[in-house]
Order: sequence, then structure tokens, then C-alpha cells
Amino acid sequence: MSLNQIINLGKVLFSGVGVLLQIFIITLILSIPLGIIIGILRNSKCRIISFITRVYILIMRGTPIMLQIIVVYFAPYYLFKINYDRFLAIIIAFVANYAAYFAEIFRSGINSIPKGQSEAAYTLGFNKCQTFFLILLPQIIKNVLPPVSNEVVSLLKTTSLAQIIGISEMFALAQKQANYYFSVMPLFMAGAYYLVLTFLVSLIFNRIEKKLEYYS
Amino acid sequence: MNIVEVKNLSKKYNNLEVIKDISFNVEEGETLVILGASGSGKSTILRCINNLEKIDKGNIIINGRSMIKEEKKGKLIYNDKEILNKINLDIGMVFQDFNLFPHLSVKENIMIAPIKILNKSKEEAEKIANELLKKMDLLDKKDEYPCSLSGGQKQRVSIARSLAINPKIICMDEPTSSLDPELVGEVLKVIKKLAKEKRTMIIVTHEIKFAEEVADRIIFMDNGKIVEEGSPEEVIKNPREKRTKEFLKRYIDLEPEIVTKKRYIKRKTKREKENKMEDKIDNENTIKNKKINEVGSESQRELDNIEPKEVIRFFREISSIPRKSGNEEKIKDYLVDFAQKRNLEYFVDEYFNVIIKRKSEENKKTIAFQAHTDMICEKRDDIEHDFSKDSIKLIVDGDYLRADGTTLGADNGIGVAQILALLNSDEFKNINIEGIFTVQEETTMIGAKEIDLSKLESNKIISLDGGKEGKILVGSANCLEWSARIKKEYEYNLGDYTEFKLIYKNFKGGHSGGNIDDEKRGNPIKLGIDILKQTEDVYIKEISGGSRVNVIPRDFYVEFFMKKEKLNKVKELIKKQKEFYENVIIEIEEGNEVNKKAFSKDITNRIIDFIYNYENGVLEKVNKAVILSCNMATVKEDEDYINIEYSTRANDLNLRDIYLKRLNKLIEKNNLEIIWSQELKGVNQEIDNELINLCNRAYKNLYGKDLEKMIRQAVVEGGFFKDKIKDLEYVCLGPDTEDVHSPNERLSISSLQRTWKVLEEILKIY
Repeated sequence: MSLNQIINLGKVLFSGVGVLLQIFIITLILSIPLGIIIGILRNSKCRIISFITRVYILIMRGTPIMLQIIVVYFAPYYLFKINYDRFLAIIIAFVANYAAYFAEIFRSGINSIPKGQSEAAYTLGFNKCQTFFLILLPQIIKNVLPPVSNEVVSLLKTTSLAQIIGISEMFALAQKQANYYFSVMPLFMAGAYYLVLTFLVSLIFNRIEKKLEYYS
Repeated sequence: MNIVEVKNLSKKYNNLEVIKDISFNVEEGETLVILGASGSGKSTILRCINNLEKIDKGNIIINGRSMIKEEKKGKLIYNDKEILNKINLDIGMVFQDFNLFPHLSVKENIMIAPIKILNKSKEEAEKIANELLKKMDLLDKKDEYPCSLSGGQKQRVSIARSLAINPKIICMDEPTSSLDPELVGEVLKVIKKLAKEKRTMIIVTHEIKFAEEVADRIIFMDNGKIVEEGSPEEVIKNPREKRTKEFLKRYIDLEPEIVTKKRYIKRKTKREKENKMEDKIDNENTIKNKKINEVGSESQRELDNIEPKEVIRFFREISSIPRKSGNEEKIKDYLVDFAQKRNLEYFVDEYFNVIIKRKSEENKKTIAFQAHTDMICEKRDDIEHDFSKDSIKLIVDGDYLRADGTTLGADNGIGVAQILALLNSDEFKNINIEGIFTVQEETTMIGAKEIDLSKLESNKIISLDGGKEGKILVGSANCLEWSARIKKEYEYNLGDYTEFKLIYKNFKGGHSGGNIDDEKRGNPIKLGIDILKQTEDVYIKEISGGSRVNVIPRDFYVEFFMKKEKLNKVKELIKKQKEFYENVIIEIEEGNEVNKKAFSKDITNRIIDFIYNYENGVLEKVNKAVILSCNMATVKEDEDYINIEYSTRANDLNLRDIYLKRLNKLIEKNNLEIIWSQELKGVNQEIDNELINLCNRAYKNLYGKDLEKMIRQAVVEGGFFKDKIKDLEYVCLGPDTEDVHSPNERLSISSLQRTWKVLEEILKIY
């Protein structure tokens, strides 16, 4: 391929990066809080709630995400003949899936905080909500940062699965270009984009980790 | 007013009842200490009061608000959240493992509750935090994070945090249990401060000494029930219940007086069995008592004519006041009354230390005298005497003044009497005289430790305690005391070994400061271990010896296994030891084997190696004065550990530090765990300062000789004064007394007369 072609290719792929980032960011914004909530519910003393969340987490982690995407998008059509936005479908599928992973991470994070912390907060007059947000959450975040960064990086790459329901994110474009030019170059270039994005994400997480190192 | 009411409280964990129908109240301003072995349910009570555990039966009422709303079908319904929140704000909690918030700085840890809960502004909260940190002596740490603090500092921050919401009641759950022994002191100091401020506190602890100092009332718990309740005096000094005694015994020695009493009863029952003997002995006793009484009434009259009359008069008055260590309230009242009647300025603190000042009109020079008001209470087995109410009978016996089968209390009542006589005197009007009267010198020294001497004008203090005629004490030792332990491990089936008991009794013992320089006293623990070391290949089964950390042991008992053929060798060794010491009992006898279980070889070897290599007795001397000595004081067992207590006294701290390095190596080698230690400071001063020269001049004027300067190994109260007074000059002077701390205590009257003249001369030439 000529240099010109490569530059062009880069531009084409870059247009896909926008979609990728949209999916990535929206999923993160929704799945992390949802994950925290599910994580708390999973710890619930009410057996029914805890059971439901366990089943939910089992299904989300126990089946391929590709299948989940297909079910989320096509099931409403087959059952109720409803057609809806593909982008919405992919967000629902990703959020549902990643929330399950985050739930487990946050659950272990919550359990890693000694019970004495909540007890101390209680004796000082904090209610449950204040205790969670002022005392526990800051400590939980520090503890769960490494596994969360793992999941975030994995999400970045999993966005490539959006193409199964026909969303043209970057990797889908790359595959098309590869067929068009009959060359693996576009795929390699997509790889390079992922690498750069992953590098940036890791950089951000390193920064946050550094910031939280002020106590041990 | 009762600020906490616990009513019929019961609590179960999965059918295991940990609290069984307990009721008690706490008054406002009171410090209640809950003592008990671990698992007795004491921490659970605190957790229930803090609503960290739900209770199963009963009720808790805090500041008039009830935790429980009602009982429905045997189940308790807790009150509304609003009320529980209010209750919650009335109680502060200090946890065993601090539970500081690690992500917040020290300051923020304290500020967060006032800001978020009490809706204070940031500035107000910061002010609160600064004040509290200042009180905890931690202001310089305010911007640090908990992870960089020591345990003691963490616990102090945690106390400050609990105070930040200004609770009415503070609960502390084993506040010192997770601390290294050397950090315990700083936390206890802060808690004592709070107790002084009359904060309502409920403290769960095992620190008995601390409980005794700080508590207004003690509850002793065992197995989920209150076994005993009362003042520290009652619960710790005179426990009634068997469980309390057992518990206390594991931690401290019972007071000697109680022990004597016990022995007496034992002997008596033995006597009753031997009917014929009884009559005979009792007859003898009554005759003896009669004689003493007769001598007594005669000598009462004689007493009035003895010089110095004033001193004797005051000593008689003091002797009618019970003043056992820790029980100085009445003597305090007497001293205050003395000062009020004569219109003298006086100060009293909560420990019942008293300072009385006599100001001269000319207001020229000031000198202070010091004595302690408490006394040791010991009596002969055959004497009926209640030290808590009976007065001490004074008997003139030749040149001696003594009591009737009890301690005389001249240590240090004669000092108190002399100071009172000086304060009362019409002479020396050109000198300001200050009298310092401290408490508990014989036990905790808390009086000297805590007395506030900022009101004192003089930097010269003459102590009238522990003197000897013709001598002047100018230096005392720095004393370090430790308690260390080794965890027990056992070995079974010691097939061809035989059990023996090695018994050492009737050694002279004595004070580890005053009597250490007497080789003939011997240390039975060391002697016994010497034999085991030389015998080799033994397994210790049971071991115990000594009484207190500041006493040279008098007895030692060890049960052990060895090969039977070594018996002759051991007997040989015993014979050699017996030749050296007089009137002691050293015996070996075969044990009545119940099972062949003993400490493992490793544990046995560690005990033997440590004690064998421990350098005991006098280590350094300068001109006949001991300047470094050590005492292997006690070896005792509890359920899981062998506890060893030992002490070091040094007048030369450099020499001591060299020794400590050796000691530490030995401790490390044998893997001993140090669980407690304390340092009692010594007096170190220029050997020819103004005060010493003054005393010497006075003595020389009268008797033409120099006073002999003496440096002692004992700890004197002056050591604690050093930090309180700038350029302190401190000496001890006094008359000769014999057999102090025993029922034979006697005061030489002629010596008193001569030393009293020295005091008068000092004031004349000052």
C-alpha cells in the first residue's frame, strides 16, 4: 500500500474511533454505578435479593457477551415484533454485562474494609448513606482500582463486538477496508489504535492510583 | 443522676448466652471500669450500649432515653431511629484497634463528625480539632495520616475523635490492648486526664493497676455475670469472690496483709485439729498479750515526756488515723484541718497529696520538706488489728518506739510529724517553710508522680523519708522493671524420666534496692535454676517463685523430670548451696507423678538459659556503694505463659545501657516476649550543691563530723520531682529506724532527738 493510502485509511479508521469512544464512555458511566448497586445488593441480608443478583451475575459472566448482544437486540423483535435503535441495544448489553463484573469487584472491595470502620462511623452519628459515601467509598475506590482498570481496558477492546448487530465502529471499518484492499494492513492499524487508546487509559489509571497513594 | 441504666440485659450469640441478666447504673461524672477475663462478656456490654449489637432481653436507658420501645411476644422492639440517633450522639466509643479513617488526615478524622453531623462550619470544626489535639499532645501531627502514627498516637487520636461530638458518655473497649507495652503509658495518661475532668466513662480493660487508679467503681465480670462490684479498694484490694481473686492473682500479687491473714486462718484450722495443743498455745498467747497491754499503758504516760514533744504529739495524732497506702483521705482531712486552724495556705489534689505553706513576714528564704502520708500495714499473725479503723498503739521500749505487733508507721509518719512540728513552730519566722505530703509511696508512687509542684517556691526539698542518722541521701537509682513471658508448649510420654520437686524456702528476701548488696540473702530462683542447668537433660513441669518485681525472692518451687540416677548429683549440689546460706530450706523430693507431661525441651531450655545467664545481684560498685544491680524477681505461670519479672537499678545510666545491650541479647536469644515495663526515675545531682552543703554544715556544727553522702539503689520520690522543678536540689535525712515494713518496725528515740536538732540547726543557719 502506498503512503497516501495508509494516511487515508488512518482517517477512515479514526472516524470509527468516535463511535468506539461513545460506546466505551457511556458504558462506563452507566455500568460502574450500577455495578456498585448490584455489589451492595449482592451483600444484602435479604435472601431473595441476594439470590437474584447471584443468578444475574452468573448469567452475565457465564454466557458469551456476543450471545448477550444478540439476545438484547433480537429478542424484543422475535417476541414482540419491536424494532429499536442498535446503538441503544449495544449500550444495554454492555452495561448489563460489565455491571456484573464491576459488581463482583465492588463486592470484594466492600468486604475488604474492616467492619470497625462502619462501627466507628456509626458511633460518631453517621447514617448509612453518609457512612458509605464519606467513609467507605473513598477507601473502596483505592482498593478496587487495579481490578477496575483491568475491566476498563477489556471493555475498550470488547467494543469491537458491536459490529455483530451492524454498528460501524472502528474495527468493523478496518475489516471492511481489509477486504477492500485485500490486505491485513488496516487490521494492524486498528490494532495500533487500540494500543494507543489502552495506553491512554492505563495512564489515567496510573495517575489516579498515584493520587490515592497518600495513605496506606 | 444515673446517666446510663442497664436493666436486666441479656445477649445471645447463636444460643450461646454471653450476657446473663446484667443490671448496673453509671452516674454522671463517674468512671466505671469493667474488669474480667477475656470471654467474660465485658466488651459485648459496651457494644450493646453503643447499639453495635442488638440485645435480646432487658433495656438500656441513656440520659433518660430508652433504647427499647416495647416488648412484643418476647421480642424487643427498638425505639424510633430519631431517638436512637440522639442516644448515639450522647455516647462516644473508643475501640481496641482504633478504627481511624485511613483516608483522612488526623485533623480531618476529628473534624468530619462535627462538620457532617453537628453541622459546624469548617473553621469551628478546625478549632475543636486543634483544642482536642492539644489536649492529646498531638498538635504537631495534625496533618499526618493515621498510617504514619504509632499505636499510642493512633489511640489518642481516636479518643480525640470520639470527644469531637462532645458526648456525655465515653466508652472505651480495651483501649490499650493492641498497644506495645511502652506505648500504653501515654494513652493511660490521657484517659486519666479525662477521668480528672469528671467525664462519664465506661472502660473495659485488663490493666488492673490502671483500673485501680482511674476507677470510681469497678465491676468484675465472669462468664456473662457481674461477680463483684464496688470501689477499687474493695474489688482489687479486698476481693470477696473466689473468681475475682483468681483473676487478680494472675495479674498482680495480693496485698501482703491478706496473705498473712490467710496463712493465719490456715494455721488456726490446723490447730483446731490438734485439740490438746490448742489450749496450751492459746493460754500462752493470752499471757503474752496481757504483758504487752500492761507495758502499753505504762508507756503511754512515758510517751508524753519524750523530747521532741511537739513531734511526738503530732506522731501520736497521726497514729490514730488509718492511713494504709491508697487510703489517705482521712490523713488528708487531718492535714487540711491543721492548715485551716492555723490559717496557713494549703493545696490538695485529687490523689490527696497536700502542700502546706507557712509564709514568714519578712519573706526571705524558702525551704521545702517532704514526707509521705501512707504506711505499710503488716501485723503479727496473733494480733487482732484492723488497719482500716484501729489506731496504732505506740509503745516505748527502751530507746525504741514501737507498735503492738503491727508496723509502726514511722515510715513515714515521723517525717510527717516533724514537718507539722516545723510548720507549727513559733521559731524560724524569717524562713518560708513548705510542707509536701505525698500519697502511696509504698505502692504506686502515684502521689509523687502526679503532684503539682508549680505552687512551690523552693527548689530545695529535704525529704524526711528513708534516712539514716549521720548519713544524707544525695542520689538514688533509676529503676527499670520488666515483665516478660514465654508461651507454653508441652511434651508428653517422658518414658524413663522421673518426677522430682525442688523446693527453696525461708530465704531472707528483702527489697531489691536496699538489700541487694547482701550476698547471704541469695536468690532462690537463680539457685534452683543453677541446679537444673548443671543437672542437664531435665524437663520442667511446674515453676513458681518470688512475690513482686521489687522484692528479692524468698522462695522457689519447681517440679521437673530427670533421669533417676542423677539424684545423687543433685543432692550434692544442694548440700553445697546449703552450706553457704543460713537457716534456709532446700529440699528435693520425688514427685507424685500423675502424668508424664512437662514443658517441651525447647521451652525448658529457654527458661533455664535465660535465668541462668541473667546477671543477678550487684554488678557494679563504687566505694562500697552499689551503682548497678539486677534482681530476678518472680517466675510465675498462668494458663498459657510462663511469666518472668526482673528489674535493674542503676545510678550510672551509661553503665546500665551497656548492661542492657547484653540483657537484650539474652532476651532475643531465648525469644522472650516483653509484655510490660516501667521506668522509675532516679535522683542525679551535683554532689556539692547548696542544699547538701547546708545540711552538712548544720550537722558539723552540732556533731563535729561530716555527713556521710550516700547513693542508694532504691527509688525515692524525689526522682519524680526532677521534671517538675527547675534546678531541683533534693536530699533525704532522718532518724534511724529498724526492720521497716515489718511488725518489728522500731524508731530509735535518741536518734530522732539528734536528727531533729539537725533540722532545727539547718533552719537556724539557712
